[in-house]
Amino acid sequence: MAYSDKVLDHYENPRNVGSFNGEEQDVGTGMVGAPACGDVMKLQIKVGENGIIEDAKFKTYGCGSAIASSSLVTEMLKGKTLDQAMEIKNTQISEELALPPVKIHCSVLAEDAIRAAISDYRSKNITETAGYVACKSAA
Amino acid sequence: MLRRAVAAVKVSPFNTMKYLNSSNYFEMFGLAPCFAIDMQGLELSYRRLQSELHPDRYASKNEDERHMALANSTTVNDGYRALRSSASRAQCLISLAGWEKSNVALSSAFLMAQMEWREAIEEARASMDAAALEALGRRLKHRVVQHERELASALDERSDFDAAARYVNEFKFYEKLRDEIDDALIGLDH
Repeated sequence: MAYSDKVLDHYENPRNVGSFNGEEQDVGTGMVGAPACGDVMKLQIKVGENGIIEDAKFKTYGCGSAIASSSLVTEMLKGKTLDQAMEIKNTQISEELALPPVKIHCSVLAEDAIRAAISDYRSKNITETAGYVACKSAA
Repeated sequence: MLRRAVAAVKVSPFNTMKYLNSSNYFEMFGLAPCFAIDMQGLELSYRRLQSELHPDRYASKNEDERHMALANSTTVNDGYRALRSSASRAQCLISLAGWEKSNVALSSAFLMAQMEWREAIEEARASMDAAALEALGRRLKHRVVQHERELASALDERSDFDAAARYVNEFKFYEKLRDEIDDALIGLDH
């Protein structure tokens, strides 16, 4: 199957490969897998105090489309608020990479990874945020 | 269930021939619907059905009958393949139970372990360490045996289709690991 130039570009020069320490408070980790093909994807976000995603890293074991989808996503995430990041849809990923229908599930996997990473970050920081809001309203 | 299965086998394709029903492969092979099937029984039943459906027996029959025999032979092959592999046999049982497959989530512990497996394979491949790859292969084999045991218990002892569906989902990842290890070992040979 022929990959698009964009997929090949991300596959050959993947952006932001690597890991953050998942234990850190400002890091959210999303782990997802596709039972249909056995691909696994780890996506991590580093969130600044202003609530904006400062950095993102990924590690994916899978086909070219899965690697390209996660690589692209790390670029899309930077500079976004968590709410904006939640809005990223798999169709944006698959359109940008011109994925064929049989590879759409790779972009779905990347979307799931974003949501998992955000939800991990939020579950870690929920008490702090609530406390902060409580203090502010009390002031 | 068992009585029905035996009755189905008695329907010989010779005189009262009809299209075989692919909705219950266990019944087709005269097996009780469980995960721990008698593999030899499956093998024998498969060979008997295929010899009954052999095109030579239908050479003098009309076209409809020849076509039916061919279609049935394909169904028997599909069924044989479906029941031979653990993952698809389990899936057959889950479907037979009418268990609707909702989104069975993979646990993050499982995914984390998968990541570690893949990293270990990648590392062994990069350092061209055949011994490490073989050790990983043995560990994987052990893990798969354990996994099958858990799946058997979920299906045959507990009728826990929720857990069984999760184990089936996880199987694919172990198959992938097997392929990755084999690929890496083949790569070292060249």
